[in-house]
Amino acid sequence: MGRTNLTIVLTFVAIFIILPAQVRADQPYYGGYESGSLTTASKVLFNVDFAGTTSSEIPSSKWLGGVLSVAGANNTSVTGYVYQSLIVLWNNDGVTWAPQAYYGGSQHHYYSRSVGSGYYVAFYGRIDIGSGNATYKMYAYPSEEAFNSDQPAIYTWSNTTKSQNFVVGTQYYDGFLIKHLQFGVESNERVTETTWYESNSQISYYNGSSWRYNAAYSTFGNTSHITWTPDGLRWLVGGINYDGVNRDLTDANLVTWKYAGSTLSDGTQLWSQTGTVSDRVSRPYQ
Amino acid sequence: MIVVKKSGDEEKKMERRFLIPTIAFALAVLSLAVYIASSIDTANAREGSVPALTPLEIRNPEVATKYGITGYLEINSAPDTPSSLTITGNETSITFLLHFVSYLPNVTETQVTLDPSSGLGLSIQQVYSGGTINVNDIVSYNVSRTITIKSGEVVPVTLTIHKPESFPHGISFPAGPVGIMANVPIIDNTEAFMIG
Repeated sequence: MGRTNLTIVLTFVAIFIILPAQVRADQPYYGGYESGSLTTASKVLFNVDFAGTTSSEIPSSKWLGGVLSVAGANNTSVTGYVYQSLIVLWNNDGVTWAPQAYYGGSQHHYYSRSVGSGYYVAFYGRIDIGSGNATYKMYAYPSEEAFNSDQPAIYTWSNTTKSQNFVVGTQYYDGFLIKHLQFGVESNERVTETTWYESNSQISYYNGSSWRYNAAYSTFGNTSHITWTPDGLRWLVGGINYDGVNRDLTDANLVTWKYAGSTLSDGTQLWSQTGTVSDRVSRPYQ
Repeated sequence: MIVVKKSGDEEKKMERRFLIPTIAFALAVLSLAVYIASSIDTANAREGSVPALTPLEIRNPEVATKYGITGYLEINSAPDTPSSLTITGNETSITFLLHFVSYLPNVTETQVTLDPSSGLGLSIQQVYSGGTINVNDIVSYNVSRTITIKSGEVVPVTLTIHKPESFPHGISFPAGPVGIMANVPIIDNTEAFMIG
């Protein structure tokens, strides 16, 4: 091999060594966010439903999760804390609830517990904040009878925290749109082996007098900025996009995510309505 | 046919003529790659990601330690615990096994608080047609409020459920390790339904 050829080969070897070194280890996420101007909230809530998913087709090494994420703040100044309520469907049809919080890439608190099965008719995840505590609630309705009579099992997990309240809505920071209240689907690895469905509905925040929702838009997992820390770092939910996720159904305050192979465009409007939540059950809002 | 054969000197001259532009091109490509890479690096350096972790990742030290997790507390029911228990008499008990796993050699133990009335840790309520059962209000542990668990150690604790006189008959409700707190992630594997 001549010197010229050798030079060219070495150059490309160098390129291939340098570029992959920038890849981060993140989780696939596709979500939606509540639009609107920045406002404070003391409670946030969402509903998760896995209807239409055949859990046995999810590989046992993977999981399918519905996740609600919200930024912590002191009044309207973000603290950098992110609070999440994760509801996971497993291959054995079990459902795990995992409330957790992060600050600056480190986990602040975590708890997980089985709360039911994929056949349950509704799981409501709620996060409250105040008096120095973050309080996570899970309302599990195992049957239509339990749902119609509003008789859930209620699991609550509480831990200390340093944010006084949440912020919802959006704002710009460092040229990026920060989406403070997000909902969506996340996995440890993309579940591509089955056409799965995961519905998010009743996404709302309590503003001191009512549970409200705003128009919502989709977000990729690599544009899902939710907050920033005092050192200027921006924080994404997930970190990489969940390619192949599309919407199966949308309505006011409702989206059913579907693994379809084609990916919904970033920033697609999911619903345009804004208002006060109405629901057949009342316990999750009390 | 006339064959023109270049001398060795001519070949070297030709190679030199092409060598300089080739090296220049290669350096330009390399510079561009370094510039792109450093741009990506700068963008990445200014943002990070928040994961959503399940017990699968918490139990994996390679993943967990990326997020500053130093270990975890796992809670299991004792092996002979049935998934459904009927409360006979005034009370019944469940034994939980608390297991602490450390990821760091210098973290050899963890403090665990067991206080169902503290308002911290797990609380369970079951809504039924006549009202709400607050599980935390009717239980107690057999150990002092704070215990120390060494890494690798499994500590059994017994939760006793006291049945009030007004307790509804035939109502099923979930029971679990309520009011347990630790400064590490808690993986609660318990699943028991009580029938009053």
